Amino acid sequence: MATRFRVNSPNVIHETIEGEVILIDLKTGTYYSLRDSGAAVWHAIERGADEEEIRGALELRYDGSEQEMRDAVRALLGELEAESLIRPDESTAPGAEIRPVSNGGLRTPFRPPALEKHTDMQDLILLDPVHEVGAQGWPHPAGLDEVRG
Amino acid sequence: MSRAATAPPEPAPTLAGFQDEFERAARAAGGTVDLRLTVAGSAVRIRFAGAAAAEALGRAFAHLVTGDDEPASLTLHVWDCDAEPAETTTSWAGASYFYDEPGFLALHQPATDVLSVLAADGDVGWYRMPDATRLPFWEYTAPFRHLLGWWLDAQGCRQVHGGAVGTEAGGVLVVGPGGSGKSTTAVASLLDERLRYAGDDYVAVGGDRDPVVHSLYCSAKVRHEDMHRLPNLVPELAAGDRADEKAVFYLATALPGRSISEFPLRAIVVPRLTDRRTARVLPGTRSAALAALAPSTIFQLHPPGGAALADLAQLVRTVPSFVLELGADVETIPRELVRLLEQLP
Repeated sequence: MATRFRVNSPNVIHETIEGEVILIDLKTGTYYSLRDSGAAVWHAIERGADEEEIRGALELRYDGSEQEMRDAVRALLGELEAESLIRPDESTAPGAEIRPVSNGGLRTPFRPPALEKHTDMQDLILLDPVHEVGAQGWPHPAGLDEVRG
Repeated sequence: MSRAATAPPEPAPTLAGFQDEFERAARAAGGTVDLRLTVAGSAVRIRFAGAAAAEALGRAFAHLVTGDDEPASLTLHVWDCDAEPAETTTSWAGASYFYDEPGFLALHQPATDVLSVLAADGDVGWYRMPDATRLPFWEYTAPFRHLLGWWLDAQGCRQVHGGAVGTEAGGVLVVGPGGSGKSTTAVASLLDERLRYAGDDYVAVGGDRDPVVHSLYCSAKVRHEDMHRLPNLVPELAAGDRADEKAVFYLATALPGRSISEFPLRAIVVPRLTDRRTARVLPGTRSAALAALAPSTIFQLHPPGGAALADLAQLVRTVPSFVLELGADVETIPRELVRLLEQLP
């Protein structure tokens, strides 16, 4: 069965504005952006598409070879998974019906997606990490293993 | 996560216990000093145990002081616990421990030993510190930031990481991570009499369709190496406090009449340091504005919250965004901002 992915919520939050996806990893302080074909891949992931369905969604919007798009999708999925922004969806329930979003028939030349990565907030996280205290509750701070885990 | 089955070795502090502790500290300090403010349109009362605490932590709110005696939406109790403060030779930075417990929210930063507690009702808070005269500088320039942030959430406002300047007719939110020119832009705006100052680091934004910026603090910070770029402000800066890297001054006393408590938000401005001579405003994208505003705002929330991103994205969709290229001639910064505000519909 083809692998589907899901957004690694709640650690990862995201918003799309003017076609650009802004992604924030709340655990690491890293934030990312995806534009154009990258945003299209992200939106297909959100809809529960597998690799082939994501490529199909790109074909509706972009002019390019099938192999080029397949390679680009595979590379981006690998990168997103390596950054822990997505994870394989192991649920056995059928995915949502995939309705690729076309571009009104206007296809533009395909350019491989690029994940832009920004790490300038990591210093803030390292200087002032916020630990949500759980097991013992107030007034005990979490043990180091717990907060790092 | 499940709680441990064993009882904690010591009884957990209670809200009544904090109140008792505050009352005792107030008696020992010779009584309370009350500060009544209007913050984001609501009445806030800050009760300090003693004049020293009020002097140290009340200055940043001097522009929001009101003579009104109406019931407070938020009452904060602030006191020293006369403990030995954290070692100042080491970094003030460190982990924060956030507690979301039945009945209250709390944040404790062991490095400074400052404890902030807000009752679940959101109308009473406590702020305990070791020594009001020996806190890191940001506790003076942005006091009770976490308490106000939690309370503002309940008021339908969002505390954001950004500066803000403008007039009663409208102004701009200046956003970007530390070192992006945010403070420089906000403070340089004081060089032009037409602009007033709502903050250089943290402000609140409320209102959905017609967003309004609410000032929280009248503190202003300038890096020592940038002071020569603001020659007209040098007397005020020279009279200000010294933080490690920055000169700190408070507008309500240094430049009376130049602060502003709120204004309609007309635009978001993302400063960019350049080697140009003069500043200039260029059209910007909403995605760039969100990338400049959201991460640094969200990661300074305690705890960082996912809902904030959707709120901030909505804010960015509501008003236009611009890039402000900063040049060596800082006097051109407010001139460009005034020109921008005059051109906006």
